[in-house]
Amino acid sequence: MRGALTYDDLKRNAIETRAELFEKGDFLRVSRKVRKKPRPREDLNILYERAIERASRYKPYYDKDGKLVLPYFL
Amino acid sequence: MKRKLGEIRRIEDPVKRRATFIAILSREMTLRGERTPVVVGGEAVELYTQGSYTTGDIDIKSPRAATVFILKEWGFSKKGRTWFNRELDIYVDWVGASLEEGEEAENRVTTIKVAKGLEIRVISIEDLVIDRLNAAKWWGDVDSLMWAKVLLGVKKRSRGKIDRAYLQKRAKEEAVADFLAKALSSNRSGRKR
Repeated sequence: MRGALTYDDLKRNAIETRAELFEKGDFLRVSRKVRKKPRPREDLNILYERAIERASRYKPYYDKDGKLVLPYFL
Repeated sequence: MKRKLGEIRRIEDPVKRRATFIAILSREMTLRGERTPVVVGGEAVELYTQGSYTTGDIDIKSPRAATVFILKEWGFSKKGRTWFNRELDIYVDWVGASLEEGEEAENRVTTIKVAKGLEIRVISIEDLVIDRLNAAKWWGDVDSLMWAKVLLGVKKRSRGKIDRAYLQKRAKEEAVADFLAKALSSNRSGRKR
């Protein structure tokens, strides 16, 4: 019996699939990606809140040289 | 530098992996005496929002010859206008040598620190806001107005001063003053969206 897929299996498969599709030309960007279908207002609010929450949790700041420090990446 | 590049593979979080890659590419460009890339588009939003917005590829403005040379040296292949590296799972779109927003936008580019000694140059929040407003108004990208508001919120939280005069000037040039008013009004009142 085949074992269950692990997270690493899924991740590897996703990377491989994306690369294969890209090489075949199925993934080429010909224009900017846009979302035309409106999201429900509630979903948009959640996205906004999550983004602002992240900016509050990992509060960006400017250092003495005027460079922006983004704590999430540190 | 190649050893550093190899370390990218071990970074689980794709947002951090892309940021680290750009920083390493930037450092390599500097070491070769070239102008460092400026990140624009979705990847710039991803960086400023620290991964709240995610994108699949990295749009950069940089000197073409040097960028191509380095990417080839690092095992990237080209398909269409995109350079990709399967092992690193990194996709790079070279979208020009300089910002089409002009010299003032070039002077306003923000340097972001992502790790000790690793920095990235990114289009300014104000210019990125205008880019998102253009997408919202002219491309019908319905999420972009919300991301413009988030970017203004990020700038406010970082205690950076939003340059309203510059925003108004650019919005007038791009005929998106109506959308800018929407973005600014919700940020002033602190209301959602």
